[in-house]
Amino acid sequence: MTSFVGLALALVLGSSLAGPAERFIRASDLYRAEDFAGAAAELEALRAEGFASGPLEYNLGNAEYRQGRLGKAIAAYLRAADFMPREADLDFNLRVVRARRADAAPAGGAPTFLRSLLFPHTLLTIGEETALAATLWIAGLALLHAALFVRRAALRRAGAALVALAVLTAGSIAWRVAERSSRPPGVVVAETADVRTGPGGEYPVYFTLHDGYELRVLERSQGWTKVEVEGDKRGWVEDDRVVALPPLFG
Amino acid sequence: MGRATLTGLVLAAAAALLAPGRALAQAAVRASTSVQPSVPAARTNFRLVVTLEGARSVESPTMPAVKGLTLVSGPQVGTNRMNLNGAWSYSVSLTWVASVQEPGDYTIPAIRFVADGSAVETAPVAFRARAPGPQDPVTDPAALQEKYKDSLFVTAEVTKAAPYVGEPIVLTFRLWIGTDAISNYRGMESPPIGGFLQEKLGDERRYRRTMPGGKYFIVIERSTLLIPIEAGDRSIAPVEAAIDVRVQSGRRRNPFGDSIFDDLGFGGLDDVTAPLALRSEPIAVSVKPLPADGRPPLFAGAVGQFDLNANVSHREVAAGDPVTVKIQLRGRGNFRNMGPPGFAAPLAGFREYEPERKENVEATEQGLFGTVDWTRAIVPEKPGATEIPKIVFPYFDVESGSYKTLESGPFPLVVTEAKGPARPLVSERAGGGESGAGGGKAIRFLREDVLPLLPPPADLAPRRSPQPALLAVAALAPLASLAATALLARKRERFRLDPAARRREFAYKTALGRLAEDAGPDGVARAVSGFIADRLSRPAASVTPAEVPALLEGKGDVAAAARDLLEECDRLRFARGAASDSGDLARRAAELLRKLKEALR
Repeated sequence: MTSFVGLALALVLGSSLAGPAERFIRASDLYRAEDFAGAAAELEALRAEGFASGPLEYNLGNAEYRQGRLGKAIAAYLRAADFMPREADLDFNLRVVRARRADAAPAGGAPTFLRSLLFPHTLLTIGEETALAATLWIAGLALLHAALFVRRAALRRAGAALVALAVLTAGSIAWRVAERSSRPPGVVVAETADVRTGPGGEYPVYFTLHDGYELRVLERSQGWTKVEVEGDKRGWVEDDRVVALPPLFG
Repeated sequence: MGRATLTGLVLAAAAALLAPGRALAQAAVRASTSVQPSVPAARTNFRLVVTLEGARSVESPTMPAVKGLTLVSGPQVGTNRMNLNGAWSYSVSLTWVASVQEPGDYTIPAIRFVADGSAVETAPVAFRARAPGPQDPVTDPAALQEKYKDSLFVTAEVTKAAPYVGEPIVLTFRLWIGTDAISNYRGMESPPIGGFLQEKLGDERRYRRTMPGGKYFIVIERSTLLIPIEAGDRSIAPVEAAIDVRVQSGRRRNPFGDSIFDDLGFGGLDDVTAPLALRSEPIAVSVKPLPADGRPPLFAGAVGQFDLNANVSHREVAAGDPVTVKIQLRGRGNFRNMGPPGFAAPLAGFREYEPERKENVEATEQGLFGTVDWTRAIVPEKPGATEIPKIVFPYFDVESGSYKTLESGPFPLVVTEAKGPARPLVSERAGGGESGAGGGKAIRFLREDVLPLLPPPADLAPRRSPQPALLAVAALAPLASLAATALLARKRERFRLDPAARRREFAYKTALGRLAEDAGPDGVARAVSGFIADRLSRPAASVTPAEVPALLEGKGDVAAAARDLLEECDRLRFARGAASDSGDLARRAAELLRKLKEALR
């Protein structure tokens, strides 16, 4: 009897007793064996336990895509981009999945030159950008400290420039965090999502979106989510048809 | 009485009230200007001294511009304090080093200062500059250049005067210093160089060189790598080195000791210096075109000597899955402006992606050395046996003066049936169907799929939220430190310029120290009178028992207590045999000092 209970417990808890790296590898094995649902479930379980990383979200995106769930795949890839914004494979996969959507793609992001110019804002993770701001801040203030004793105008100007860059970078961080908190990006994860003029089934359908459509989530209320589409169209969809990206710090 | 008359009276009354205060402020500090020597020689350095009698501190003034007069350095600020018959007098002097180019009459207009918080103005000063004589330390550049032509000069050279297009050469500028007269090296200004890609080779180098005749030189050297980008005759303009030459010095230095390295840029106020610009000769470079005979069709401008290595990630792959082609080029040459190796034949049946380039190339005085790696993803579209064409890299070998071609491959590849979802992944460009808008065949993408999984990350860990309070403290702590340091620096500067303020600040601490050193009547009297003197910025000798009530007027009982204690100290000091209790005296003195500290806060 005791051994039977032990075996059952081992089977039930086997998943959670293994380390996160082993479970990640097991998910990859399931994927290669074409058990995409099993791979996605294993990776989702890791996410639910609070584990977070770019490869985890990327592989989850692949597993969702293989099951034909474009919206869930895009959501996973977008979460992965928070951790590895410069990963070329991720960019490629996101482009492949977006190309399969039924709805016409909304307008793209900023032009490449602008993305390069604002690289801390667009090409760095929030952690990297925070480290950059901290480094600029400390280096700038160290130079200003030194300028109090070594009276060189160049030292003072360099310090002030670094502090100004640190403040700009901090502003960029604040902007990213605030935007993600107040109107996070979201993705339609159901085959169709009717966008209604109000939060309830009795309101008329304004338009219909399809799996994988990307939008902005404005608020949630009693099972309904207010969304913004293409910058000017707003309406309400059922909660379970849309997922929003999590806050950058949270 | 009219309204205008009334206004005039009010203004006159205000002027009358304000005038004495202004006069008092100006009377307190007397400003004078002098030129030393009084008749300086043109093209030599002289001193311009402003003395502010009665001032303890001065804010940095702005010297008005005078036509023909150059300020070489300054102002150096000096504060003086002198005790004359028990009363202290103060003065501040500001000294500039200046020079004029031409003999003649000059006038330095009034200079405005803020001394001890009040506005002060000097009277204009006229002086005459004479023509320089044989004994004067002349600072004329032409004369100096002639004087130092064998010991201060700049040279320029290239490693090859007739390179091929694309062949890297090195341009080197050298400043030769064979005299100890140089007081400041301000740098070499590189000329603009057209027709070449340029790359700086490290920082300026400094070393010593002994010439065949035994003469020592210190050499400052700057090298630049140049890659010619078109054929033709080019002229590299002269480089200009800016230095200051010491024409008269109060101290000797070892001409070839390390001090010349250490001291460059730190000339003293005693030095009489003159700026000197040294130029190299221009250099002619004749860039030869690459020969047209024997030029391979895929030649993309590479010049040098190279090795090629290429491999592919798979020999068997499913249709639609990517194959990575890695190409590495190693050697010496113009890595900066040459094209990548290419396939010898078109890639039929593959989709190509832009190659990713990684470079590990070092610029040295022998040229550009290193490796460049290209990683290129290609995707086979149809199953079957195929091959990736060979990779070729033609280049021009400078050593042999001929073109050579490196090759790697071809690479056989077996493409199996595609995996993945059953969904037909077909899209079309140019309107769909078999024909495009222009009548030609439309391109059909047979399959496009996501790239493979990523390996497990090294840092798979639960997500942690940052602590906002900790972040705020970490961000604000350096700012608070800067504010505190700025206050300290400001205080230190104030104490440096105003010794009386320093005395006032540390009066209590100094008094306690005196008391601790000597608790007898002498020590107590010195501590108490010293404290009062320091706090009131008076000479210590002027704080006598008789003066104390007047000095501490309005401070209440503490004035009488101080007078009594000082009188008791005098009595104990001069009445031999009088009984004294040092401990009690010191205790009372400490108590009095504490009260005085409160009263004179």
